[in-house]
Amino acid sequence: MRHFGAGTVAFLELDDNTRKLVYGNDPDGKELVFTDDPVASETETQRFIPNSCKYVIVYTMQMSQESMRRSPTITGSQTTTLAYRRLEEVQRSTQDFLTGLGYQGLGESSTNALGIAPAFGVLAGLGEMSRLNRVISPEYGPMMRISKILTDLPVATDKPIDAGIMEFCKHCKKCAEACPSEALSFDDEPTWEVRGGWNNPGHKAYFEDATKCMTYWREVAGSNCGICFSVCPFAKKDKAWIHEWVKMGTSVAPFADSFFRSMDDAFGYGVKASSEDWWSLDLPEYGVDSNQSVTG
Amino acid sequence: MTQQSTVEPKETQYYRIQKRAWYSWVLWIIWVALLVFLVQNAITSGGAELEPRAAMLFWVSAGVVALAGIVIAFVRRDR
Repeated sequence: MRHFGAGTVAFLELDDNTRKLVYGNDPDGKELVFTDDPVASETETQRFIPNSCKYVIVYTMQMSQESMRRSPTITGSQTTTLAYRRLEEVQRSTQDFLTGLGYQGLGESSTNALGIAPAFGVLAGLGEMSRLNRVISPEYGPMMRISKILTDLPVATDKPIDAGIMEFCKHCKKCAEACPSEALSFDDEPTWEVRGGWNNPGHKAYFEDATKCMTYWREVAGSNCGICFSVCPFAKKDKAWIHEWVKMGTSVAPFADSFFRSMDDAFGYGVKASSEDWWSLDLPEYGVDSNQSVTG
Repeated sequence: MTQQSTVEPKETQYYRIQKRAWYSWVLWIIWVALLVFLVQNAITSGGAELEPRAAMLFWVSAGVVALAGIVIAFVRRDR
């Protein structure tokens, strides 16, 4: 899947609990129904998912940190659109590959359809939930989008990770402080209490006020935002050696998290950049370094 | 019959060869490693990462470490 363009890839098995992460209805209104029929099918009102399609392929697409730091502008938001578009291409290629093997690949019918991508990402071990209420990965920070494909291809599954990211969020709060609409939580600890009907209950998280966020997008910024993504200390290009050492430090020495946050500010990371300057930058393809997740 | 020379040598020089202590090598290796680390961060911060403030701070740090090493080497050269 990396050959198709995916960043990081992990696998999860649907059980009684994780099956709840599949939506009851897709964004187009069609009901998602699990069935004993071995072949997926679809009518005008329903999509039938075979119970045999119990494996979830969860994969990421890196976004351009250099674009996102131009938030909240079109220049900043276009990397999100581009990432979702590339996720669709990876989905199509992967589905063709699975079909060639004789298996099924049930992807998203539209962007962010089928199921809760951040939840799949966390449970598959691609990253941890964060104060952004989105997944932060060790490889890309929050600079990624997640998608998923249900399949009946038997795969070895992955487990959630603990890279010290959620623990770092307890002390950092940089995203919440930077959010112009104050939509993000300032709580020290994640909580069970949701902030509105837009939040999914039943898990501990730093729930955000999505109405404040969306209102800012529509009425003030005029585009998608992403300021919270761009200021995150984990949103780095990882060219300088210091970043790997800091990530190592956050994972093994959480008592130093406040110090790392202070240093992130002192070194000027997360400062907004000019949209006009972006056009003159000599950036790689898609504005990202595809080697950023390569560890071997 | 030969005549022995009675000319005194003009000056006598002594050279002491002292082996550097093992911990001295360790500290110098640490100094080099730290310098390489700081320079790498400085170059990439200003280059690929486009973070000018971070680059400046790393360059200053590298300069301080380099200068400290030079001063220490100079001060300790006669020991």
